[in-house]
Amino acid sequence: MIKFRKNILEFANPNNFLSIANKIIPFFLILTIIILSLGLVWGLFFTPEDYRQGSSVKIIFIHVPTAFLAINIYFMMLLASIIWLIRRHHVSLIAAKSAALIGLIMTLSAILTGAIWGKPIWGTYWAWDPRLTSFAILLMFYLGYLSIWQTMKFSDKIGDLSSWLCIVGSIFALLSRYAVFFWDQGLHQGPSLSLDKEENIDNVFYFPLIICIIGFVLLFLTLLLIRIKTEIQKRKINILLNARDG
Amino acid sequence: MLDFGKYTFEVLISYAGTFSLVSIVIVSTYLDAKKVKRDLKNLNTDNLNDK
Amino acid sequence: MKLSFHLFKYELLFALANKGILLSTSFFIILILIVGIGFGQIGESSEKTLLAIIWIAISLSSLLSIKTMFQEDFDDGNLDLYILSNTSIETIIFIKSIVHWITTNLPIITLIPLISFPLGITIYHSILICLVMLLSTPALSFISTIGAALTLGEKGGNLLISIFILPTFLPIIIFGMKISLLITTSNYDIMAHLILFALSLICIAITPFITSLIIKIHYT
Repeated sequence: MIKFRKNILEFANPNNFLSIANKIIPFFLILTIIILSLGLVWGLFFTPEDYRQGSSVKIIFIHVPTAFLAINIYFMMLLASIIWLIRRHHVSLIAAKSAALIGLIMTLSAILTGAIWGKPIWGTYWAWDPRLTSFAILLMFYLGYLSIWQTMKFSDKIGDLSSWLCIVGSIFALLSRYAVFFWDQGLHQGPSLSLDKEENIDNVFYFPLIICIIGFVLLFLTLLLIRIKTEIQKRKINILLNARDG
Repeated sequence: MLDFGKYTFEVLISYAGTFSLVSIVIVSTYLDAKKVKRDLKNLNTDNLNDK
Repeated sequence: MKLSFHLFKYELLFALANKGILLSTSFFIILILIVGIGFGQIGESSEKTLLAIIWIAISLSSLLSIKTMFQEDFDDGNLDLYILSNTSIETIIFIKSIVHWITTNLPIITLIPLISFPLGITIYHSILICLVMLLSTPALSFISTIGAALTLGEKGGNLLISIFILPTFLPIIIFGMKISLLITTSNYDIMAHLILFALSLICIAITPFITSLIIKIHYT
């Protein structure tokens, strides 16, 4: 336990982070490729058709992982922002910044696949169903967070501002989510995946889905590590340039 | 081979769409990393030249 | 307390002298009429669409003059004095938001019965909707101070404020829209009203503190 704590704190130092990241990035990259392709190929070619939804059930293998990531990346950004505000660890701030674009893309793909799946099954691409509305809300807050980084130059002040924006955004995103769910539960079925429930979806779909989720999470982690590494190097270059030019 | 019965189009388009969206991030990450690597290299050689 | 009162008076007189009221109400009327006419062309002018237009117009027009709220004081150094003085900055933010509400949202709300009557909402319903707005729009003014604080000292921050702040209006807009619909269909739901007012009060209670924290970032 003590060793673990020490390691976490070491991780917060950008140089240590870089040396650790350099070691584990190739490993993560290979693992991502293997697991993601295994999950997607299994899901696409070796699963039977659902008796009600036909082969359109195969969309679940990207819809669920991307939706899962879209929500959890925002949560991760919130945690990283809070850590930055309290402990002033630069890696934490950079992690929040780097995760935002991936989260936006995951939200977009979740909405896209959901819409494509919804047309044959629900008869409409888009309805103002609570769950869809909460994804639209999530999309807006991702855009807000990204725009603060796009318009202003990287500095600790902007880091503070963006962290506060992330915190305020998550408060209001949660409030809006409950406001939307206040009147009805919408078209979606209840959660189909949970660890403690007896009735999960059928095992035929369950295992490839779990593999796909792990694969997408690994994809996110790999991309995040590379992006953080790039961002740290960018800041290094800036510092070096400033030092040279005076 | 890529025939999934009634919903072939939907399945394929959603996989392709997600793939292209995710590849935006992958490509931008890759290009960024490459650019920074080159900048860092240039900077180091510049510093050597100054001395 | 005396100082806060003086500040309130000064801010109010300053805002009135700036003709902000005229601008925001004109913007509101123009927005309502433009959207109303646009919907009229496609034959879609039911009460429902009008309600949506009113809520969206009021949230847009409460963002209009928000940029100047701290920017002028920031530029001429008044904000530095406020931070150095004994008065807590939260009080100042509270007063400024109240003044902002009085000078932008209040005139608009009093206009709503006048403008919605010719557009097809009955007077009785529009007065009830006004009451709901009276209790929920202060939250809009208070929330938008966060955006003003975030973009302090930023050129062209107006667009950024709308990007940051419009999504945070959503809880209020969702509940307000639903309640307005319930009012016009004579389904009175006291729970929904209570939750809307609770939301509004929570925003009023919390946002001055968040805004003051964000403003202090600019001074470290």
